[in-house]
Amino acid sequence: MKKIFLALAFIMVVSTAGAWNKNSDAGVVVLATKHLSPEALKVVKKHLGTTYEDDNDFLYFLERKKRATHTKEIHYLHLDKNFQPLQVEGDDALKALEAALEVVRTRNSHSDAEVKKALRYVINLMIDIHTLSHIRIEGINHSQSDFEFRRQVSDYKPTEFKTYKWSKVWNQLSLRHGLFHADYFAEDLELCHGGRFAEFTKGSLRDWIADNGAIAAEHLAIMYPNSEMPLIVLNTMEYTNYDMMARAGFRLAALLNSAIK
Amino acid sequence: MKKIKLSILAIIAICSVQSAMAWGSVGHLCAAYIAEQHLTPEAKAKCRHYLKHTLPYYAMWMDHWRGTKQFEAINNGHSLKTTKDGRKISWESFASGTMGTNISTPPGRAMGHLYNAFNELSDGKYKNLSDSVVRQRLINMIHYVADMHCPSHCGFPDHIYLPSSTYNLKRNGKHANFHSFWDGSPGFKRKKLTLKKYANMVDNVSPKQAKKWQRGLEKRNLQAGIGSWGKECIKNAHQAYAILPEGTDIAKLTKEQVEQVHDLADHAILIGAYRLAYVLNTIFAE
Repeated sequence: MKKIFLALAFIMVVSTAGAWNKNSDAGVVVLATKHLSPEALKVVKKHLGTTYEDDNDFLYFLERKKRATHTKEIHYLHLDKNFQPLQVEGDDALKALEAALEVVRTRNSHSDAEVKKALRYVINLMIDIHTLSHIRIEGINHSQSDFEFRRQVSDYKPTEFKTYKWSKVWNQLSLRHGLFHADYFAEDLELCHGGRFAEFTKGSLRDWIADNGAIAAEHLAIMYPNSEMPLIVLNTMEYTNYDMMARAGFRLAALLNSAIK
Repeated sequence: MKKIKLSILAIIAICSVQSAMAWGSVGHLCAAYIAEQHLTPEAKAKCRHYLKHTLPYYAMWMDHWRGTKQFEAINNGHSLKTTKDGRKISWESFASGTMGTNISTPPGRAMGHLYNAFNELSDGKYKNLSDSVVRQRLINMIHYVADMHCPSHCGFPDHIYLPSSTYNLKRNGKHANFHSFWDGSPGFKRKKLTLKKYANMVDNVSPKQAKKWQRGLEKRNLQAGIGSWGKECIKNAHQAYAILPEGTDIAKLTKEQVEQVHDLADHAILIGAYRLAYVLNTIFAE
């Protein structure tokens, strides 16, 4: 009986793992590869091959296999009131991302296995820091842990609500296009946001984090425990979600391009 | 032990909810994806220019937004409706195709929306409209053409709404919704679908067959043409009732029944997809 339970629990974890969902996370990585410099593409291909389905899920994979040396806190960004990084004890997405980037920069003094692992960390963590529910902001208490809010089923049924979790809402919105295979997701993101590469990659990693923090704060102002949200707001959030995926893909490319020269 | 059993049930429930959420979109997204594969280069470029997205991105847009008052106009008309012929309808006569075979003229509901959008955009008229109007009409057509081909999107005479609440199916002995079942039928018992995987699996239509499906949209008699498409859709709807007689337990379908469900659902998606491609190719040929 315990074996059955474990198997079912594993299926559930697999199906919900990842910041958005497996196909869209892979789509973000494919989008990034389209914007890699020839040097960066060469290094990425050497260490990761040409498919990224396992790479964008790597940290969760380690956690599932109980081979992780990190805690779940590694998926979260901790920011102060001005959206600047907070010095935190223990794991933090930015700390881990900067450490992994350093390995990529100094790759010639590391083994292939270490570089491969570092690249996978960079991919996973760039996706994490662009998922708004992974951003914890000082002074916004409900950003520190998960919470539930309610959204109206329809304007025509004003008293009917569905309960959503902050930690899952972005994942659920991306599931609206969950059938898109990774290449097609990247193609669609490019069609929609392709002209915004320079805009989204302006500044440094810390500028991008502040940008993400500000966007998260805007949403946390209208979404808080037991808040009630009209359907139109949820639908509009889908555009924010798509926008964040494009930011993640473009910035991942820009980050690797600057680290691999 | 009791706690473990309850936990297992809870996990199964969560997993099945996740699957159910994705099912509703399978038909729409796959029809739009297959249609996109059959666009002319010109039509594909024009669609992407106006939509700033692929066709499947907007395939479910109308269902997501129809519940908002700002888009009240798109809340209805996602289906076809047969006309009264003076006799009392029975499910059996509908399933056998002996009743409920006529559609209203001029075409209403989904066909009416298609007719209006096609009229507005064809003969180069789209060039005189603003980009946002063309975009909205395209979004409507992507959705309505697929919807009118869905076997459960056909209303009976004497039933204002679709028969989902009055035609009973069962799932493990409990009431199941006929309409929802067919909406989700392309994904029924199919795991890990992607658009590419689905298209590779079903899209092996010969050019001759495609041409036959697309016939009817002649500009000189557009209403009749769209009406002829609607009549074929109604034949599919008849089959949906014949495959699943009232009271069928969908958790206990035989292998043959599952195949019949997939055959009908895939057929309906393909016809819708090829017709949508034809509509868009015709509009953007000028």
